[in-house]
Amino acid sequence: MEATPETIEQAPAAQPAVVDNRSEDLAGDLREFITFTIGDLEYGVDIIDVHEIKGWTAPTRVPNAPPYMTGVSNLRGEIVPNYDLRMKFGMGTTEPNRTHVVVLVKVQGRTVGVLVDSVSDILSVPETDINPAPEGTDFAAAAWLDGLVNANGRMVSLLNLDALFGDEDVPSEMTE
Amino acid sequence: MSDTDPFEQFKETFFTECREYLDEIEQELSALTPESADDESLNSIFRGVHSIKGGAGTFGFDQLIAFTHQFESVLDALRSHELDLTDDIVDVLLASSDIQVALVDAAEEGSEVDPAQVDDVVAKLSALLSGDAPAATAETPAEEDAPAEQAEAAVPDEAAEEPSVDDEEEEVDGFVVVTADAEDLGDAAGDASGSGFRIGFRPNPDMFRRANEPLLILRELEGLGEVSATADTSRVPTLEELDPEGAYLAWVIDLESDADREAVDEVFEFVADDCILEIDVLGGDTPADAETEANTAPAESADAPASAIDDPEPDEFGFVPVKATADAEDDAEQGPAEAIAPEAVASAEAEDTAASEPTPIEAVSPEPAQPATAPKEPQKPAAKPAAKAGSADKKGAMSIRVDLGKVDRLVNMVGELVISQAMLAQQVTGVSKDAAAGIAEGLDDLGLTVRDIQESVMSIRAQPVQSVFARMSRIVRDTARDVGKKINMETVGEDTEVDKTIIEHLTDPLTHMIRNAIDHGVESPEDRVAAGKDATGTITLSAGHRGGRVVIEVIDDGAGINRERVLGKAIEKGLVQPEDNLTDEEIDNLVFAPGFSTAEAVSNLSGRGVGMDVVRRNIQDLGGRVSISSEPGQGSRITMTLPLTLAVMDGMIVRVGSETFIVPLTNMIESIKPEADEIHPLVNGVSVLAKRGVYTPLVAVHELFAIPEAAIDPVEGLIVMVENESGDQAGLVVDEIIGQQQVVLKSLETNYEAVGGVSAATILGDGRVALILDVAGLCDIARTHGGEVARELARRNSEILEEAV
Repeated sequence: MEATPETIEQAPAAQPAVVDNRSEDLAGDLREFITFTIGDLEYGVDIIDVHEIKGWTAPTRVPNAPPYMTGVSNLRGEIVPNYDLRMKFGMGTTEPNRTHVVVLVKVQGRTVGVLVDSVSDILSVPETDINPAPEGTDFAAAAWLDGLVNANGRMVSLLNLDALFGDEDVPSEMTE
Repeated sequence: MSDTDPFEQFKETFFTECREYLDEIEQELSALTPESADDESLNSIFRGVHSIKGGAGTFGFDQLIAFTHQFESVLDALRSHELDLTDDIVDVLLASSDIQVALVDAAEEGSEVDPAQVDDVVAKLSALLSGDAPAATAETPAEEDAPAEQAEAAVPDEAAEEPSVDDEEEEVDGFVVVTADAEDLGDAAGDASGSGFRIGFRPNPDMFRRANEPLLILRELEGLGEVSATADTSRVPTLEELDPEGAYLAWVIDLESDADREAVDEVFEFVADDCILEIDVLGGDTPADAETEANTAPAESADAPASAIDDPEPDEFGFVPVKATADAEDDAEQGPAEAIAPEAVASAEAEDTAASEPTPIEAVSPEPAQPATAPKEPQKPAAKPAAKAGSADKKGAMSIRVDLGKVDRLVNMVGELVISQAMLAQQVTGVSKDAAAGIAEGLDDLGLTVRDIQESVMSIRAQPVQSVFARMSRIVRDTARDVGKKINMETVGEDTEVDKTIIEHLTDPLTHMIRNAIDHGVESPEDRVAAGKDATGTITLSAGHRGGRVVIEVIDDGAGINRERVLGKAIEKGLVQPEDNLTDEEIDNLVFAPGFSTAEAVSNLSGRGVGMDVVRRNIQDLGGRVSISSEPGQGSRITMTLPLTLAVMDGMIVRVGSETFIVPLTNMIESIKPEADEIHPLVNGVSVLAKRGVYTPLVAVHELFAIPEAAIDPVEGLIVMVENESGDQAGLVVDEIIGQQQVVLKSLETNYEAVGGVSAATILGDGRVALILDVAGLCDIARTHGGEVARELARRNSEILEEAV
């Protein structure tokens, strides 16, 4: 994490330079990501998609929703579903408290809340530095990832929000 | 033409305005009968049609222009009394109005209406015209806007001098465009040929740069009355010299209006410094003359009714305004002269004259002299206040057009404000007493203000039910004619305001109820007379506020519900059992049961293919309830209770385990604290409640929604009895009832998806989300259980039988 301040400071300075000087054949637009952690792992979402970041408050459970949809909460009058990303990734259950953070992101015109442990960083990465997510049947979650980034030695998985929260695969039938 | 094309926007505005005109026309037409017809309503219909024609001209909707022109001609003949209104003519007018609606729709969609249909009505209209005075077929554009035409119709003598508007004329969208020389301008202004005002309007060259637009002024003038403008193009320079932002045109505008001078001044208020403006009140005389004449006229003409006509100044008649108003009072119905009396004829004055003069005709004759207000000095204290009073309630109501989306956003934000306030208030209760006192007080004040704001905002969306009621008079008329009955419709409380969305959804159920009432409720004239009633039946539509809800009633004075037949049919259809002891009220309300009414007319209140159950469903979709009561021989009364708005709903807050739900109050019947022996467990953990001899399936909400720590035994909790739209009942097992509250509806689907058993969500006082139960969905589940109950009972019965054998 020592590199964090550096990364942030670099971002504004680097951006105009990149835009002005990089020739098109390098195809390197700078992209910015908000990164957050779940346990030891670090994830990033495109800053454009992030609506806001809030402290966790207990949501209202919605009947017969999948377990990782922990409920709906009130975002200034809008009803927003909350997802426990840890559970979605099959890494256990988050026992949230007030130190946990909900990242509100826009997915296909909808607002959803993503429950994470903490927000860590803003990352500026040239497009060219984004590595494709590994493919293969033994890595089922690959569809949820847009790519991988090496940020000063840390690996950040960039999330594909559309795949994660877009066309919901939640069974909506009553279990009764 | 891109989508930001201003022309497209104008078009949009045109269609919005058209809708308003069409509504108004429809309303006026529906109320129109040969007996009730007054000039004001005819004028108002005429104005509407004329405005639509004007707009159609601008945008080149040829079919619409051609039709409205014909329509307008007939209306014109009617209002000038060349044609007398008969029932047949009203029918033709109504048919014309329908075609007009279709044509506007077609114009908006860019399509065309079947010409045969249009021609048919046009033929009828033409027939009306050709059958009467040829003057009525005023087809030339000049006459179109020339008030003299009416003057001519009214005063058959010499006065009918064509208003010689100079030079070549060509008609463009309702204005008469005339090219005139600058020198003519002054002359034209003096040469009064209309009524109301002659306005010389010469914008300064920099008018556009000051963000003013003469076109808008002309449009605004049109709002006051009929406008014919003569453009002076003499100042327009050659193309090379032309400054695209310069204003070069000038106009002489004849405004035929009953508005007062102030209203006209107001139109020019913002441009007065940017132009040369001359407003003459048309009267044609010199100030001095006008003064004397106005003063002496009443007496003079009172002595000799014809004196006005004999007046040596022919112009006098050219100025006679066409728009008579209610102020002309009953006199107005007698002679043509009064029909065209200006509003300026103060009713007070008319009365005065009537009182002081022996013969009634005279009361009307001063009127032609009345507009003789001085051209340059319009301040005529006597006439002015009256003119104002007359027009104030007509067009005076100030309003603005606001995008509905904006209002809805505002409604939402205020909803948030209410919730925030409630949250704060709740949190203050946790603060120490001393500190809390002041805060709590402030919060109370805030709460009051917030509620006021909420009410005001809600009232923006509210509209009087009048618009729907007016439509119903047409339905009454048509239906009564179809079935050969005489019906008179009365309305009560049509000013009652209800949310726009609800109003929009009221038309269908109301239409249905009224048709039913006329078709089956009200007896034939012969039967009515035989029963000692007036041969004409009465349908009363009433609206009013009651306890924060809107109550709308359809009352007929017909035969009432034939309970024997209703009950018989219901038993036949298996809706009730013969041994069921139903109260009269219960029998009456059977007509709402699904499957009761069918295409065949079975009862006094069914038929027409669609049942009253549809009506009930429509009303329930709006969060309302509907019931019927009837008195044999005296009539029936259908009562609808509706929420004021759809954004807010009355709900009962219930707790299940650690979770809170809302049960819509409209679905709730009662809550029961059951006794152990009333609960009968059946298969699969399903139970029924036996109460008052009725078995009701129970829905264990905690089970359905997998809620831990809830009362599993209904005896420990409460049963909330609910009923869905089709009358299915179920008992929801909950832990406790927390209270009743108005809740703001929030969609779950905006960001998530539909959830079974849940209709929407809301936000409670503490800021937390609570789900609103979908009673219909829960009843479905209960009904499935009900099936199991029946099967289980049958199985047990057969077991008992087997054992017995």
